[in-house]
This record gives sequence, C-alpha cells and structure tokens, in this order.
Amino acid sequence: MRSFPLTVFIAALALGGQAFGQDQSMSLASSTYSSFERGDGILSLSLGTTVPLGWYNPDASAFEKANSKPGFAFALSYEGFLNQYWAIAGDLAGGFMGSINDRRLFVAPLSVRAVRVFPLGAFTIAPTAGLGLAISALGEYKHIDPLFKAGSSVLWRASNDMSYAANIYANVIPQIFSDSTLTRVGFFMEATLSVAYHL
Amino acid sequence: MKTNPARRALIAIAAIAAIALSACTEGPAGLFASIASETPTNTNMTKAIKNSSQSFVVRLGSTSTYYAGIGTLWKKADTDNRWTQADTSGVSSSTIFAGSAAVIGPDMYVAFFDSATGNGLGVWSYNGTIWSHVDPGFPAAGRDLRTLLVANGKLFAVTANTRTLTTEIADYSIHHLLGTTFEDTLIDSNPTISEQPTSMAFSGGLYWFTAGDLILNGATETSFTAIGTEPPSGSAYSGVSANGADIYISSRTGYLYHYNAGWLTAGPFNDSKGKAYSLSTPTYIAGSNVLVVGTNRIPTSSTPTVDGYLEFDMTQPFATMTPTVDHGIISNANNFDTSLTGRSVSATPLIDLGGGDFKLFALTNNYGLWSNTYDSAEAAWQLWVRE
Repeated sequence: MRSFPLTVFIAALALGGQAFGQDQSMSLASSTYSSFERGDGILSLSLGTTVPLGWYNPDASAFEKANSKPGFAFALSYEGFLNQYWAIAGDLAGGFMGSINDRRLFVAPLSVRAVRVFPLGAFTIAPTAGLGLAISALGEYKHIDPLFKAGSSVLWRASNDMSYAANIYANVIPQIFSDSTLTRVGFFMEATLSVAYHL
Repeated sequence: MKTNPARRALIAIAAIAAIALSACTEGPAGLFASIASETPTNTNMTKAIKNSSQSFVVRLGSTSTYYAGIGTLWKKADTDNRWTQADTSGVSSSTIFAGSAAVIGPDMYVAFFDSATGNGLGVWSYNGTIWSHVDPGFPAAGRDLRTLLVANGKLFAVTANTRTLTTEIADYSIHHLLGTTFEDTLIDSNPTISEQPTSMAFSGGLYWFTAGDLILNGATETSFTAIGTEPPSGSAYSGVSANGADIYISSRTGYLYHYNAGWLTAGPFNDSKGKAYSLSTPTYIAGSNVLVVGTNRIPTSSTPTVDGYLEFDMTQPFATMTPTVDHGIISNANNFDTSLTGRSVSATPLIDLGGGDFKLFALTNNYGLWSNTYDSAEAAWQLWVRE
C-alpha cells in the first residue's frame, strides 16, 4: 500500500537533486542582475478560500460529489532561495469547510514544496509542487494522511521589502483505511491572497 | 562544515514524507467517506426553529396538522412546507407559551403559560377551529399547573403547590378530566405526593406513572398507589411507555426496566468514558421491534453526558441487551452522525399516521426538531431530517 508513494517520493528526490545541481551551475555562469539570490527568504501570510472538489472512491473506481461547501483557508509560508531560480518552501496551513449538513471538516495541509521562480519585471510567477501531510478532523474523528500539493503564485513586488501575491493550489489527499470501503482520495483547491515580506 | 540548504530541505521533505506515510491512524470512520455519503437533512428545514428546544409534538388528526410547543405554539399541516406560529388569539391577545399538550379524539388540549411571568394560565381545548377554556377554575388557588399527561384516552393534569420561597417543600397532585372539570386523583389515599409525576402509560388495565423515585399505578382515574415491588435498585425514574402487556421504564441513572408479571433490569448504559446517560421516556416501535431512548441533559445540575438516542433491537434478551452500534434499525451510522449524535434528546414521541406509516420525532435541547418517517410502502425508515 505504501510502496507506490515511497517510489514516487524517491524519484522526486532524485529529480529534485538534479534540478538543484543544474541551477547552481547556471547561477554561477550568470553575472546579470537577478530578482532573487541564494539566501533570500520570503515570509508570507495567506488568507482565502478552500474548495472541496470531490472524492475519488478507489473501491468503486468512481468520483463522488463533494457534498460540502467552500470554506476559509489560511497559511503561513516561508520560501528559502537556493539560487536565483529555485526555492524550497514550507507551509503551515489550515482550512475549514462545512458539509451539506453543516458538519465542519478541518484540513491542515503541512507541506514542503519546491518552487521555481520566473521573474517578469515587477511580477514573479512561481509554480510549485511538494509533499507533506494533512491532518484532518471531522467531529471527534481525526486522521493523518499524505499530501500532494501543486500550484502557482503570482507575486507583485510593491517595494524592496514587500510583495503581494495571488496563489492557487491543488491539494490531493489520499485517505487510506484498511477497510477499503472507507478509503477516499480528497481533492481540494486553495485560492488565497498573500502579503509577503522579503527577508 | 558549511550546511548545504538543498540538503537540509531534502532532509525536511524526507522527514515529513516518512511521517505522512507511517502516521495513518485508523479511526472508526473514514472522514472523507463519511462526507461523501451524507444525505441532506436540512432540505425542508424551518430556519426559525433550527436551534430551538421543544416541549411537545402532537398531531391533530382531524386537521392533518402537527402542533409543537416551541415556546409559543407552532403548527405544520401535511400540505405545508414549513412550521409557522399557530393562531392563539382565541386564548389570549398577549404572547403565551405552550408547555404541554395531548390529543384525545378530535380535540387537542394545551396547557398555556404567561410568557412574561411563567405562571400557568390553564388548559384550553382546540377542535381545529375554536379554542375553549377547559374548567376555567382550574387549577385552584395555591396550585400551579405543571404538565398534561394522556393515556387510554384520558387526560390528566399535574399541579404543584405555589411556592414563594425555595425553602418551601414541594408537593404535587394529579387531576383527571371528568366531563368538563378536573377532579382530584388520590395517591395512596392522599391528594399530594412529594415527587413530580412526569410520564404515564396504560397497559393491562392499569395506568402507570413515573414520579421521581416512585412508580404509581391504578385501575381507575380516581386513585393510584405507589407500587409495592419496584425494580431492584430502581430510582430516579424518568419515563414510562407500554406495548401491549409490556411496560418499559427509563431512569436518570442510565437504567431501563421492563415489567410483565415481573421486573427485569438492563444497564446502566454509559458513554465511552463510563458516565451514565440520563435517559428520556422510552419509545417502543412494535413494527420495527426496536426501543428508542433519548439521552438528555436532565438534571442540569449534574450535566449528564448525551449522545442523541440509544436504539435497542428488542429481539435481544432484555436483561443483557446492548444498544446498536450503528443505529442501523431506524437510521444508519452516517445519518445518525449527521443528525443527532452528541445532542440532548428530551423525548421521542411516535405518531401513528395510519396505514402502517409512522413518524418518530426527536425533541432536542437547542438543536431543533427532527423527524424520521416509516413508509410502509417501502417498508423502510426514511432517515432523520430536520423539521
């Protein structure tokens, strides 16, 4: 059950390592001005909405409707730059959603992401992907599951110290139980706005 | 040695991934699966009573209308989509509360209270058109109306002595409606007892009452006696119901008792931490062979634990029976989780709709009115929905 995610994870580490190696050599060859450089950091606070998109039932090989409503999302993130193109980011995040019967689902996606930045003048496009864990709670029930996160941010640099950003992420959370009838893969979309401080 | 940031980050990723892949704790339910299988319970909800507490629900069959005491008197006809406040201008022009009610034949009897003072105003009957004050001299001076009870087509009223000081000792009386007036009912040859009668049923030619630590019965409306042989260690009785010759009694200490020529005791029924539930009046549903018992917050001084209601498959031996885990006889685990779980249910009145159909109501404390209908055509319960 866990061999496939582990294989994916090891492959991701290998590819990631290659990418970091290549970009380090690129930055050494570059002598032009860059928006970011090794050692830069961005601390950002995000607020917005999280939208449950639906559930995949592997037992029935079928997607099931979300049966829930968009909720409130928040995140505290830090991006540390490895070079002018790549950064590693960490998120402490959470989201509250209500089911159709007003039960409250809380999902806290905690992730580490690789970020590639594309500076475009005052703007920066930053696609990202990462792994982590999601802590879910519904009433008295709680569960910890793996998390796959991907998305992108668009930052507008308002000053040397501060940027504003719009973010959209997809969170994929496989919630696996030994009773396979209870297993579902949850799909969530986060759309948030951030205020980001450049450290 | 200088630390490589990339290596540090990769170690962090590996640590998080390792936790994520190893820390899956098995719970009793799949969280996402539970939400995916929810059925809507609020589709026909009346928002005005969403977080209400209720004192009673009855059905006046002659008008095909349900009436509920939710502070004031509310009604919902079979043709209505929502509950609305009933017109009680025939009783009083000011705001009045409906504390209890009973239906006998084509008439509904309601005990009304002044909303400002809480004082009992008396009992009114309603035939679907006209309100009539029943025995305007009742209750007598010095007595306060507490509740109405009904069984075997007979109406009873419980009164208490008017007390101005909390140190005064309470006493309670039972009265029965004879024609158009309430007459005193003697209890052990006395007009009063020290415990408040809260529930009644009729079985085997006897009226049965629960009154605190007492169980009363009697063959006529004019006199009752405290029974000589109670269930072993029985006390703090909360309600009684009957099914044929079988009597079921609940207690505030988590016990259920069964009487049919002898007593059987089941329980105590506790929550997962071993704390006893305070049980509401049991409801026996013969067609489904199930006993439904609410868990409630009474007495408030000891804050009993609550979890909706307990459901018992009555094909089990009574003395060793246990509640169903999934509430699967009249509901299912998911429907229970999305309706009454963790809530205080003060009563579960069952209304016979005729033709083999029934509607079971759950009266809650501050969580609205819920109902579950048995459809004989489908031979199935339709699950809990919010009224």
